[in-house]
Amino acid sequence: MIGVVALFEVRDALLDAIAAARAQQLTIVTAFSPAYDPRIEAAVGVPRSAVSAWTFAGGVAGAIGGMAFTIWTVRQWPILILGGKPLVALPSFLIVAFESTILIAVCAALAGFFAGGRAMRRVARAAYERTDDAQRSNGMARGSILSRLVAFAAVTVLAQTACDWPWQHDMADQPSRPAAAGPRSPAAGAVATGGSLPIRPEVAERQLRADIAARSAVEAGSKLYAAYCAPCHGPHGRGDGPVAREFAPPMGDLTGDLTAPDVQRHADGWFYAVITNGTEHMPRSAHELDPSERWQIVRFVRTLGAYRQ
Amino acid sequence: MAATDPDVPSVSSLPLPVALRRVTRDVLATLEWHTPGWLAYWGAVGLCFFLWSLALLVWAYQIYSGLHITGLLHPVMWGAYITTFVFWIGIAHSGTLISAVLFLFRARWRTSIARAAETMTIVAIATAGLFPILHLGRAWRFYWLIPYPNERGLWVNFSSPLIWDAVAVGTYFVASVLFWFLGLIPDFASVRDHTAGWRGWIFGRLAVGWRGSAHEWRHFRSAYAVLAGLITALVISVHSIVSWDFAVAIVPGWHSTIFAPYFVAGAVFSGLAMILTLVVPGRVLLGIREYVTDDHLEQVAKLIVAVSLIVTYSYASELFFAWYRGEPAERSQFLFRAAGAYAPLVWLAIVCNSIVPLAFLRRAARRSPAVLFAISIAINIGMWTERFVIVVASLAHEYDSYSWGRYWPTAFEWTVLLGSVGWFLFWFLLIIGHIPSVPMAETKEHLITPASAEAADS
Repeated sequence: MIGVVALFEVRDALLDAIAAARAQQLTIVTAFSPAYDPRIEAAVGVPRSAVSAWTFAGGVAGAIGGMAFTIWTVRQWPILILGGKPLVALPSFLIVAFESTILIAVCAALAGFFAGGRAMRRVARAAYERTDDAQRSNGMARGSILSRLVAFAAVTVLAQTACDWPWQHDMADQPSRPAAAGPRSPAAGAVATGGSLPIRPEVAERQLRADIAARSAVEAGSKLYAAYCAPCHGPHGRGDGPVAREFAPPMGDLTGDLTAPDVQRHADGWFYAVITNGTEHMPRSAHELDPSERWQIVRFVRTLGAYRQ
Repeated sequence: MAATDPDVPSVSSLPLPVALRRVTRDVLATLEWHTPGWLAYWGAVGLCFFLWSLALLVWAYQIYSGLHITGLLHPVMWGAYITTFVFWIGIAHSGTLISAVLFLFRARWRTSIARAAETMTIVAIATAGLFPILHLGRAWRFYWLIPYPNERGLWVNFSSPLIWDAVAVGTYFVASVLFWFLGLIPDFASVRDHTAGWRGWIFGRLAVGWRGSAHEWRHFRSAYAVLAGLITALVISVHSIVSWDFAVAIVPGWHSTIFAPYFVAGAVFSGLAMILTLVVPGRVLLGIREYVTDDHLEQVAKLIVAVSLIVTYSYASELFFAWYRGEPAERSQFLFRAAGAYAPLVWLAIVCNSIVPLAFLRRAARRSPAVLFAISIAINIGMWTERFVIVVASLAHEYDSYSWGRYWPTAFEWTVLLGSVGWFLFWFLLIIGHIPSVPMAETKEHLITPASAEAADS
């Protein structure tokens, strides 16, 4: 049971009463005074205040936080006009960290003061005022504040994860490919129908089809064939062109005879790749014939096979 | 019953319980609606309101029309606004000196003016904080100064002294407000205990449940001493950082290592003068003449002489640097200040800051309220002029002679300057008139434990 024991007009009477109460083994809870009085403090036996500990912790937090914040921000967006000075400029950042040390230390000191006072609040209020509802309201107040804080924290976290907030998107993170990044590497097994990527006949055979219209392609292809291929392969693809007569071994090879079933069994893409890359004996023609022209030749070569059969 | 305490002569000869009650009664009487000086008080508040609303109109016009209505033009791009910013921050320093630094030195005489000094500090910082925004052409973009993750993908540049300014002044404001509030808690509790109705309820909330138990006093003393120490370190850093706005540039007349101590000394100097300007008439207006005695004002005057000598030394060192270093641009700048277009202002500053305060070496001058007030006004004018010269004359006369120029503030800038004075006085009067203007708890502490007993205890 806590209550006001007595009111004193004069400080010495209070001190005498404290001494007398101690002599009777009574517990001195506290004494109230209108101003700070070192003698009353000594008589009551007040424990040390934790404010300095709070302040020290706050100062350390402020120092670390200040340095960390400045260094982190400058590294996160390092495009600053520095004039040759280092990106992490310690003299400047130390100034900011010093101010932040003081700021957090000051706030921590106040927090420590309120925390220390809160412990005494219940006792002090019950003793100081002659009403009892102080005890009720204190307990209720503490519980409701805590539950409100927990509810607030829960709502904030939930809202952060549940909704799509603008600050969760950084425009720097784009699914698109920036222009400066250069061309992508092709997917595995991709076959180039144009451009300069290497084309493997086995792959091209499986994956490449001629995309161009048939009839006009065959006509155009026949003209191109006559110009580029006939000198070796002959006008009908038999390997009897005027240049092939000079070949040793002769171009009577199966692959030399474009009309042979062993040749015609290959898919269009294989022909396209052979024309593009060349072979051991045949020069490549990618540099002279663009992709659509090569496809036209492929179409024409198909008709050679049909012709024979 | 001890001998009369010179710090609280009016009540210290009374028996202690009577004296304590008298302190409470006298200070609470200043919070009444109809104190003797209430007409003058509200008249002053009204006049200040008029001044700053005029400045608000000028600022609105500036946002509408642009910064060309000021005198700012190449090469002088910092003018009256920056000068006034530095001026007000400087004034804030003295409040902290009196309330925090002198507390650490156990100077008991500071108690009577500590509340006014702390209030002056927070209002001066708030006034100064307006000026970086006033100085912006696109004032609505001021939030770019705040470091927070934003959709612009930008952080502030922590290598810039302007950002150091923002951090330092912000920290100073928060720390000063918290320190001021902490010291007020026991006094708010006193008001709460003696006031009924809604006013008692307001002071009750402000008093955050203070009951004055020995435990609470322990926490209070700890927190107050710790905050005083921290704020002392802070106050030295703040005006050093403001001075580095200038010193880190290569402008001749700015690029000098003496700037940090020079500015801090100047800040303390101008703040002490502003305290006299506020307290000499204020103690009559608020009815606390018995508590803010001529002895206390004399102590402030002695401090003013001491700091004036430091400021004079800084001027002399500038002369020495200009001669010793031999750098042509710096010598040219110095001669320009001595004999150029701004020379009258330079000599005005020297007279007001170095010569006039020497009058306080005479005891009669220190004890006369009229002389105290007059010299404090002279020092205020001198310090503003000195800041103006530092900012403007250096920019007007840099390295390249074809870039030399002149700057004079326009009527708009003068209106804003006067409006800032009105803003400062408006908020100062309103706040100090509605809180206990003398620290009751500390005054009672001095009555309970007289200086002789304190010395005996320790």
